[in-house]
Amino acid sequence: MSAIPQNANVTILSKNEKKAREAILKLGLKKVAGIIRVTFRRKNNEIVAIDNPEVFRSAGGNYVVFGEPKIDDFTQKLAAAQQQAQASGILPSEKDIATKSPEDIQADMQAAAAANDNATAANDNDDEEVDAGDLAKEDIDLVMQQANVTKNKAVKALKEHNGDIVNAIMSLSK
Amino acid sequence: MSMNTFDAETADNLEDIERQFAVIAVEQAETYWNLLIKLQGSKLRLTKYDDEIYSLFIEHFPEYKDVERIKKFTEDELKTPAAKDRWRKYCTLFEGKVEDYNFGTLLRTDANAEYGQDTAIFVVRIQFYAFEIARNRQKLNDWIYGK
Repeated sequence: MSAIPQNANVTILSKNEKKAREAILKLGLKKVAGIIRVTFRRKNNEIVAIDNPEVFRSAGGNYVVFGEPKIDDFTQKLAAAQQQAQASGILPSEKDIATKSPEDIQADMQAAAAANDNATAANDNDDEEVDAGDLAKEDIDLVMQQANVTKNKAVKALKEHNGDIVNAIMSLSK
Repeated sequence: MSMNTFDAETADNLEDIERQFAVIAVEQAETYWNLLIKLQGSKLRLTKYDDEIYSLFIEHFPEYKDVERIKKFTEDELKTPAAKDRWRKYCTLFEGKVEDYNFGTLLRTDANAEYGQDTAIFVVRIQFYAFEIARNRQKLNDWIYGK
């Protein structure tokens, strides 16, 4: 594969590309929609990326990718991003780190840990009673029984499906 | 579809979509049937809007006040041009309100039969609700309970 350097803005228009695509379609390959980027990583951490590729999939699970490969030098990008972050003050520069005392660092870590605890506490409400709202108890029981789920899950599914029992059960049994 | 517009690629995709349709319709039918086994139809509520679906159904289709016509009907009577037009008007009343109101759904043509090749037709979800809510209210599905 001939690779084009990063940031290059070149489009290769192969004469045979169209022919190749047609041939591939005839082989029964199906287009895979929604792929934004295909990347290959080489041994030396060099990344070859194809943006907005056309991807075809064969019945056997092999893929054929069309598009312009460009070298995406990850380490170089990372360095650039870091430099930018330091300049804008998001990341502390090495000088700042050096001037921080161990006590300061410990205080920072404790604050971070406390914030983390709060976040998990807010998310972890699976054991708590969920407000059933205006849902009928019989409906909730029915969904719990049929889909074999907890009350909270049944309530959530019923709410998501606006009280539609069949749809709620179906969404839970997938 | 005429042969000269036939394209193998699009045909493939359509088939896939149709299959997905069928899978969901069958899952829905199975889920509903299992509900009727667990609970008498006359005690079952399907959506938040059962009352509205039912009263508008009777209002738009007064001929279905007749229990016998709810119990058993033919596919043809739903699919005449005139009937389709009336159903379309009825369907739009639930747009954005009843979830999946226009999804393809299996409906039994006979309340005394199980889902089967000759006893189920393809309708939209709101038609399914209209008939099944009416059947449940007339206790026409209670025989399924405990089967």
